[in-house]
Amino acid sequence: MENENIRLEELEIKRKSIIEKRKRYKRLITICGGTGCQAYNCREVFEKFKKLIEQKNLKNKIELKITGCHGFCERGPIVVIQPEGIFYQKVTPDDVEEIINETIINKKIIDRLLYIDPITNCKIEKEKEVPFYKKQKRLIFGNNGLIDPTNIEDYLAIGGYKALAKVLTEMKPEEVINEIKHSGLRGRGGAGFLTGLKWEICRKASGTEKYIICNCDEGDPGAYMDRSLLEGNPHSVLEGMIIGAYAIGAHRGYIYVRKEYPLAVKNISQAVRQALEWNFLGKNILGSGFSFSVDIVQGAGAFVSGEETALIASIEGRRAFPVPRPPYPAERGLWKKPTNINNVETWANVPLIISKGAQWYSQIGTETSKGTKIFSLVGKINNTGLVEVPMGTTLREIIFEIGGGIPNGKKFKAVQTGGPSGGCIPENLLDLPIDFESLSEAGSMMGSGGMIVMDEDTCMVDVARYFLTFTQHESCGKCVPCRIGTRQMVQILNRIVKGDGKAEDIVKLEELAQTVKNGSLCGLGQTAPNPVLTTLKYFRKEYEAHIYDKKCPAKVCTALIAYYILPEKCVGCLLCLKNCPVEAISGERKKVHVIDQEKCIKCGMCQEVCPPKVNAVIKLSGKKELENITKEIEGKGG
Amino acid sequence: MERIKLIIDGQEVTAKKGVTVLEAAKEADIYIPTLCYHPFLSPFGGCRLCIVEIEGMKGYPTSCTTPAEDGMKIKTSTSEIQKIRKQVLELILTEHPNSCLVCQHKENCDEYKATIRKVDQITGCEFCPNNNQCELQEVVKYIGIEKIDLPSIYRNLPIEREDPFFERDYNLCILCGKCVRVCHEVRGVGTLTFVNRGPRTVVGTAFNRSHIDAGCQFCGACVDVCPTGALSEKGRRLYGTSDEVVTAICPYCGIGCRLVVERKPDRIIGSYPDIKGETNQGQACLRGRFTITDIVHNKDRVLHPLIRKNGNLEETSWEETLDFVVEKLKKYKGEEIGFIVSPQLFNEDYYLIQKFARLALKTNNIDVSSRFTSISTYSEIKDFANAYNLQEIEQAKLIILLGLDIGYYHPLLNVKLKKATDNGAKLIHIGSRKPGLGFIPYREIKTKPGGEFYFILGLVKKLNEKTSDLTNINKISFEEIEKQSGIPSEEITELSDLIGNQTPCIIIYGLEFLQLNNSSDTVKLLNNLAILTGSKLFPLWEESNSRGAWIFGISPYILPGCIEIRDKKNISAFEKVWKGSIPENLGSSLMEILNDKKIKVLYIIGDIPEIVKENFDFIIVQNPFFTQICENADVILPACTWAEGEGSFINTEGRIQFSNKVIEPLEDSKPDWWIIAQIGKKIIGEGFQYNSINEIFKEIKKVIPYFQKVSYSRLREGESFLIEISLKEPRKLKDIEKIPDFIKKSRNSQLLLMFRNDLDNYRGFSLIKNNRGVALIRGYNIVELNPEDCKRLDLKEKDRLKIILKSIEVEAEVKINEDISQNTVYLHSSLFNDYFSKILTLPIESDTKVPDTQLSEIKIVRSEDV
Repeated sequence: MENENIRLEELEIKRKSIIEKRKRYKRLITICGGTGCQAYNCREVFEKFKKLIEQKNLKNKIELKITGCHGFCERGPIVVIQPEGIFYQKVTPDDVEEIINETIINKKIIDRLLYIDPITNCKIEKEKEVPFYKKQKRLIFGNNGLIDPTNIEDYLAIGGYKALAKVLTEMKPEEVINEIKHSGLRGRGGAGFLTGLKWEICRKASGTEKYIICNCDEGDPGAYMDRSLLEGNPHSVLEGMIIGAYAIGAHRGYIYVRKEYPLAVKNISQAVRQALEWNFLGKNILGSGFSFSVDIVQGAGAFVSGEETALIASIEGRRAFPVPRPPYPAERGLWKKPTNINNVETWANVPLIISKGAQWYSQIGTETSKGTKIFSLVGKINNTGLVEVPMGTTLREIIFEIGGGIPNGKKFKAVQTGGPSGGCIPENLLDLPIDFESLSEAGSMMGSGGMIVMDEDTCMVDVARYFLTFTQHESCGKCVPCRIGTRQMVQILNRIVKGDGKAEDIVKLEELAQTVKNGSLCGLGQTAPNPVLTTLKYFRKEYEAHIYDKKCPAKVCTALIAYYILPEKCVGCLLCLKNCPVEAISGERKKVHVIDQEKCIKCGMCQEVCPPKVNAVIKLSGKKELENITKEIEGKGG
Repeated sequence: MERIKLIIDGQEVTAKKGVTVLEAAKEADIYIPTLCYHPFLSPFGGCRLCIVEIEGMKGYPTSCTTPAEDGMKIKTSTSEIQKIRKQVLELILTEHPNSCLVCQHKENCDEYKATIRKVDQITGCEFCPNNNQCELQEVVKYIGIEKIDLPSIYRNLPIEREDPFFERDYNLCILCGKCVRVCHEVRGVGTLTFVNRGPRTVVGTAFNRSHIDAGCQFCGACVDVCPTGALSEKGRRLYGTSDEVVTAICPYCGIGCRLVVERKPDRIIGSYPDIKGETNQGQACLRGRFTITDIVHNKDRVLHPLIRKNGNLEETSWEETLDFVVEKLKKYKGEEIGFIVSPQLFNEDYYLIQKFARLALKTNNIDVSSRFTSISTYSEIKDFANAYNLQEIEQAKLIILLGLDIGYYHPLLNVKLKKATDNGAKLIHIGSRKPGLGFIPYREIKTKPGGEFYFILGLVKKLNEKTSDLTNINKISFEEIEKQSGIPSEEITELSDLIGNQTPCIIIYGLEFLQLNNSSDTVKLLNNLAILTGSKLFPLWEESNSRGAWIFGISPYILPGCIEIRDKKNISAFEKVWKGSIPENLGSSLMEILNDKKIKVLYIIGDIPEIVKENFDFIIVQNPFFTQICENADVILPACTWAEGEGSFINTEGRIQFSNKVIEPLEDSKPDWWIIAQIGKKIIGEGFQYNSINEIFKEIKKVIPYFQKVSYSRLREGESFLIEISLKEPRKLKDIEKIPDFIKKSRNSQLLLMFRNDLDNYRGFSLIKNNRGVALIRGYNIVELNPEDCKRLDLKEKDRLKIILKSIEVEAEVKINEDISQNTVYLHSSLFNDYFSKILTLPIESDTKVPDTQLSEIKIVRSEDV
């Protein structure tokens, strides 16, 4: 370990030499290596580049790297060529040779690899001009695309560990805490507690042995921002933790990461090793006299482990059961010692605040919520991916400007924020500037930043049922309201979507929701009823339609829908008949086909295969509609 | 203790600092319903019934988890709280059979039993094992639930009956977690855990193993804390609830747990640990929790006096039997009569028995039947006399266990050791076999079999390097110590530093350790270690009253109060009170009584294994059970069990405790003191005119000064007293007599014999033989071998073997156990009878007066090969 006893003054010299060394490269090709692009086979693209660069003897001119997630997962694999910032999307290994020959050598843009703005239909050359990126403010997440997360020199080259150096040389722990307090940074894990205040409580707690924890037990379905940070820029998280440890007076830290995130585990483990080699971790860090070490603990796959007290239990080797607070972990946490837990994104904000100052940071965001927030934008949305925006950005901006709106010209119906226990926000609240308070007022929450967009084909009762089924399964089983209350609620919802709902069910649901919310031990239970409560608040009519009219307005709940072939439109092409998986359709060539409702399993295959110009299959729901169509078809003697 | 002020429901109350809001309310007699709170367990906060409103705190914190703070304003029953509580309870009841709670016919049913109260397929509500003892019933009554609006969800879990002692019907479980917590936090065992998640969460073992495989000690603590009928003692429901409860001391081992024994008019139906028990504080082990009924009510009880007539034992009257015994005894001289006495009788019995032997029959031939297996027989016994308090373990900084299998022998110590380690104590076990400590963290120093002696020797040498007057100790080199103990010298040095610097250090050791080597030298070494480091020695006396037997003179060499027979001055004090003379010669010890052929009349009070009948003219057995020895008896005097009588025990600490009479003696059986008094009266008249044990104890106080401070009435009320036997000489370092021959033994040894003692035994009634559950856990007629040895010898589990030791052969079944060292064979106590009778032919060791067989080289052969 050549850098074992590196001292503060030597750090800047080393940094300069790294930057100097890189100046010889004329171009930089970055290939997004986030989990999304990995699934699109970006590895092969990278290997192809590597091979060709060697073959063509360009090794000294071109720097090639696999980076962290760029966020625009919808369009992977993504290749960006610097310094111009040329943005190629959906790149395959077959495109690589052309990119080198045309773009690198001949400096020509390859048209077909460019991104086309679906609204203006214009081709866009540069990454920062892509509307998806243009409206974002990528303070935390932006560096992902510039660095190879497995190489600490990359992080140093963009100014990494400068904040740590500043803290160790210029600031007292109390000053660091004050800085974080003044920045207004709030925990990005869900509850939004003021980070600086949390640190201060832990620092002031009695006892010399203290711990800090980085929570990367991201379990919300469809959310992956913490994962992308830990995979794509692990040193920024680590730097934040070291600064936090210094401020709090902790000498030992833990990173709790899901075992289901193998790349995150690999990258952060490597980062820890490198940081030890560089003396950013270990004893007497950079000669400052401060010592701090970090262990990585892999979670065993329980959603509730993300709850801080459950996470502590899990690190201690016990079952991940939450423990009621008070006492808070800041007073009595891991191994019964004062402990500070923050999530990945919170820690990643810390170096930025220290480098740029609380003053600068606090200007971003709203009155109560400062800085940016990364959201994982998924569901019925054109540009699936990770987006980072300043607090206070409206939902409309995120969904329609950055997200590119709803696919296939469908109508927006609702957006569910904050993970499975967040709430569903309807269209009339789209102009809500989002921050911690506004989301709670709307009955939802910031959570860790999940954002699931739903279009008009989504049944809100079914959505509530889906999320509640998830939280019910993931309830740790410790407290009664969460364990049994959610189960009873799911039973009622199951009944409603099957058309067996009773008049009193809505009241019963509301009652149970209140008990689960008020009576549960931890955040999981306390927020589990949110999807039900918000859908009842904003989409009550859908519940009533299910219960009273036996109708699913979105035509999703299979028990309440039926497919019919309109006799006047059917041309008797046999397509639906042949494709029906249960042989429920009868008929002959050129004669009207009929669906046997007894046999039909409502898979919708007939509607899918019926040629658009014929369009003879219709989907109906509700007692009235079904009675009418039966009469109509019978009347026509179909 | 600092006190704080709180306002609960407008009422100002004070509480100890550090308690929870719930505890503060409890102290002020303000009821808050709860199902998961238990004073001995960490707060859980799972049932959510104890929620309150606290000014300045958001939501509804649970009072069981919230620390009470000065000035807190708390409301315990606002309408909002009651609403949540009601629905939470309703939710609990959707998963718990509830007709016994909210059935509309409940009122009628109580009176007329008119309705068939069915709670689920298996458990009719009338037959719920916890009917009328159910915390759920109480809480439902308080919160007031008349009907349940939500559909009930029957979880349809199979009832688990495979494991012994208790059944588990988790359909009745409300997941309060008390069983899991007691298993982890109090017992340190950690068998129980929550498995699965969400609505499928249940209590079970990791990886769904059976409780036996998961290391359950079957202490029953989980059953005791279960608020519903989910955990219930097997077969218990047949007897319903008890009419009355009586406290008694557990008669098995030397810990002396106080039990609450439940009774019907003429029957004991169960027992559970007494929360007020001085040593056990609400805990027990499987013996005290599940087998008390067995030893009182079983088919082996002898309930009428029996006399052998024409070769057959025939029932007779007490009058005839007593006359017959008296007539026989009168025919023999004192030195021709020998007494062998169980270590599980009351002190009052002992006092009278030895008085009878010495005064009425003029003999000192009296010994305990456990000489093989009890500490009470070792020559350095005086050094054991110091009383100690097991409670001290909890505050110790360093605890050393010497060759103990806590889980097997003294599960109750687990409770103390758990608390100690929770308080930060370091725990070290030195021995060749794992100590069965469950989840309690400890450092293991694994010696060679018998190597503990050398390890201790090494420590003493290290700590005493400067002085050189311990010649024999100094003679043994560190190289030799390292070789014999199997522990590197550096580790010995490290440990000696640790013990030297960590006070108070407590060294706990028991018989298994002493049996290994020359016992008096072992005790000397331990004393030296204690003197050199200021440590405390806690020897574990084995049986419920082996310490009492020793203090009360059940010994050929000493009189009550540890007066030596040759101590003329003190003897005369006895003679004055007794109004008669005491024989001057030392008596014969157990093996001498059995083997020397000088004894013609053998009087056994208790049980001993098979003997050579031809050695004796006449054999009297006085015991509650018809054991093997009774086949050779000429007279059997039906003693009652301890539960049918009353008296005091002295436990391993030296603590005297009173055990009450639970039921009247069954049929014709009588307390031991009564039988002896009758015979005594008939032989010499004066000196045996006792009408109650109170009179006996009065005399004890007169002759033994140690008992003067003991108030018999307070003792009867449940108080206990430590009996401190003061030492005459100050303790000083002593050299060992000889270098043990283990050095020689080990040289060529292939397999060494180790012996497992039997504490699952009351006066010869063996639980392993008579209780299927105990047999299942302990194993019946087994020898244990290390997996490596089994591989080498090509042995499989359950293979039948012959163990050959010198001229002795014993047959047993192989059990593979990775907790034991290589090259050792553990012979189990259930083989004791068989083994013991054969061992009589071996030479006796001068020190212990029993044949030295531990660590002997043995041979094994497969049964079918023979």
